Amino acid sequence: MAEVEMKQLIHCALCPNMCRFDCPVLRAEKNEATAPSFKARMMYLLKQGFAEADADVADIAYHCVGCEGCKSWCEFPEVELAAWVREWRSEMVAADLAPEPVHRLVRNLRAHGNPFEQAGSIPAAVREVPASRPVEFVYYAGCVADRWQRKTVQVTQAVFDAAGLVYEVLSAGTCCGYAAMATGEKALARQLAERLAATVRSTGAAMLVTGCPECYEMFAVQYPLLGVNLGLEILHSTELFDRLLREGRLRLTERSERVVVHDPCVLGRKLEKYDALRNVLARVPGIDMVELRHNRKHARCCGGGGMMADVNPALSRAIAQEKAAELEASGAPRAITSCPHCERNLEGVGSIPVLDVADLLAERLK
Amino acid sequence: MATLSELRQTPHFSDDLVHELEGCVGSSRVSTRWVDRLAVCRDSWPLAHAWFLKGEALAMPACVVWPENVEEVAAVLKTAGRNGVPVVPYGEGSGVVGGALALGGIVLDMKRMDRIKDINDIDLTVTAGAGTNGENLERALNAAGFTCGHIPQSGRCSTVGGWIAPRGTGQFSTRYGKIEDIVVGLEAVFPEGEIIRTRNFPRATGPRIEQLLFGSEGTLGVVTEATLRIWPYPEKRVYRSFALPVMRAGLEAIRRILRRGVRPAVVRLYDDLETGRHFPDLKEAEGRCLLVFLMEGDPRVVEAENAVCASECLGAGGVDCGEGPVEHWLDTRFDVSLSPVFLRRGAMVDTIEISGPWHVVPQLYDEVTAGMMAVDGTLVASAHCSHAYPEGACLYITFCGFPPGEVGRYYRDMWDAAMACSLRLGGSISHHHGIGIARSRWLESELGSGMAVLARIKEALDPQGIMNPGKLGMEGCPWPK
Repeated sequence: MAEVEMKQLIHCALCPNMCRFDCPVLRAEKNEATAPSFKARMMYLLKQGFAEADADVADIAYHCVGCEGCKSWCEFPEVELAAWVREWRSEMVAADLAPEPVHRLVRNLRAHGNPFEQAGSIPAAVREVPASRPVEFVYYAGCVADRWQRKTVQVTQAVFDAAGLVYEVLSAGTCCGYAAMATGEKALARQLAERLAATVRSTGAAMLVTGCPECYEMFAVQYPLLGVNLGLEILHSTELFDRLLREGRLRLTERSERVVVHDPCVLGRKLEKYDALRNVLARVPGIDMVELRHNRKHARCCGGGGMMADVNPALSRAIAQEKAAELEASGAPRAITSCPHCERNLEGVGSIPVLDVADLLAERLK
Repeated sequence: MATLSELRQTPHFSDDLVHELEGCVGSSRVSTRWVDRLAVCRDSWPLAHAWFLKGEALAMPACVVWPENVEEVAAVLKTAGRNGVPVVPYGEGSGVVGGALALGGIVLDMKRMDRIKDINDIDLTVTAGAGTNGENLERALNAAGFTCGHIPQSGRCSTVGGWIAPRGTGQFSTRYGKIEDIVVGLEAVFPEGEIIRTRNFPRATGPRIEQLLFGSEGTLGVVTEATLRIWPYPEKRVYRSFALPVMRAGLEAIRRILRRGVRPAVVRLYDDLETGRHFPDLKEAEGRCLLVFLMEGDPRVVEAENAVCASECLGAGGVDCGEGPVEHWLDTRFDVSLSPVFLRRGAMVDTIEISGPWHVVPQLYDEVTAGMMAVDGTLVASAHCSHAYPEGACLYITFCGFPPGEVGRYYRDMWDAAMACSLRLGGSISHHHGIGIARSRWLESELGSGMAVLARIKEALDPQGIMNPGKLGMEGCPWPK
């Protein structure tokens, strides 16, 4: 850790935890050891040699969804707790102290190229090349959507098709590397990134569209840090929908409906792309868009960040329950988001259905 | 003082005792894990921060227990009493005087008792678990159209129980009062396991036993739930600020405003140093003392308050600085970033709040800040009047210095300078941070013969001496006279 980061680490460690009320993990666990500032204290003690790591210390490192809710309240702009936790996890992995679910996830990544047990049924990086050429972009849904949200993948393509887009589908059997990165397997993340990047480059497309904010963040932010260059424009599917609606390329039916917006943490807080989803909803005829009281940069995580649904399902579900209750309290019959992790994690947790914006658009296609 | 590595090896509870505690709350809510014990081995006392940076701490608890209801709290206290082990109630560790630092034993983490229930529009009350986070409470109230009015700087990182323990105060206290004015009823457990629940309205039914718990800092029992006053969310808010020529003029203006029956929610007067530090771009206030007001509530009442504040301040030679400084204060009032920055650089920085009646407050300001500046190594000792009432006010002093010798020695000298001066002039040693460890040495001087009465109450309620030992000037203080 660089000297400047050590200074920032101390700032976080000595803060009275002014962000704690909005940490979804602490809200669910109610254990001081999961508080944001305690994580900084623990990292400080480890780095200074005042404490030794063991399995319990490693367990704390995996009690973070990486939502950066803490950052939205932090007075120190250079404090990057979520990024430091990733580094901490790398050290725990290197010391063979990571919890068993992480080992299982990593075994799957090595065996199947993605984090899920049965996902080997999806071949790695299959290309579906359209008959008409040239393609306008490559669509990569992401391994979470491919495994858990097949319907969202299908309706996303239905919307693209309705707009007459020519694109190539890259099956997401190969993870973008996020699952490895989030759990501390940085070297494996680089391998997966290189593998996927080679396939993406081979398409010759000038644009890559994904419906997964975590994939987007990997492509746009982490790949360059890992030394992997994609060399093409990256767009979230919601941004593409926004573009298509602005250009009048989607014809939608009108129907009155109230929906509540759920901002995905990565697309929102990390990438600051709050508007595309709202722009899309504003252009769907008859939609009454309800905002949560705490939205945009103060929106709460669904509990699926940092692969928590696989690393610690009980914690992930507890966080999801609080989020679902918040969405239900809005009074809207359905919630709309733009992230397969959120959709997966909130599915069936509360009484309110949570859909990707692509589902809504597909329902309204004329 | 011990290193954290040494404390990790400190004797653990016997398996039998751990099983007994598990019998009280369930096995998933008792932990002897080192990381869990380490995590509650902190509050926000700057001296403890300095120790932490060296990998040291005073002590470490043997276990952490998370109760979920009042019966579980009672069961834990009875178990602790039978086994003669200390119990320290713990909220969110925002205290700044070492009050929640366990010197061993059980930390009773109250965070699972955070239910907000019964927002009552008729009685204007809310009942909340002692572990309820302040920001979460205020958010829930705001969503329902109310405010509690208790919004301390630590609101985001403190609990209802943590407010009651030291007699805390929010920044809007001139209108809404200190926590003892806001809480109308309590549920609590005394050290031998007796549960009390008080009624929540004015009455004349003998002494209010629960009042013993205000300011008791976990030494006399555990607050498990509180019923607090709430108010309809303010219909109107008015921000005003005035730059007064000197502190005395500002203090006198506040005193005159309050005696006219006006109760702005926020009244804060910064000395010239703090005016420069907090409002560096405010040219009208350069070299002056900025007085800010936030008035809220019924529009007609607020307008009347506004007129009185303006006339008194202008009459005292104040320059009208408008709404901007109040907006700036609202934007920055939760910024506590200064302390970690200076502590990291080896400086000692802390805040000391004292209070006094109006007839001594001006002199208190002059002499306390001067006395602290006289301590070798001090760079700055500045102050603002942070809370004001018809009978007196709180002075909130911030100091920063580079200790010429051992940090603890310098720190103690600074506290001694402030405490001794305040007592000599007729002020109090604290307004809302409480006693903890930092002020333990001075409580007897403050209470006089009351200290012996307090000791007898403690002995009667807690004969085993299990509740938060070593705090509130009682036996076992690690920072003795």
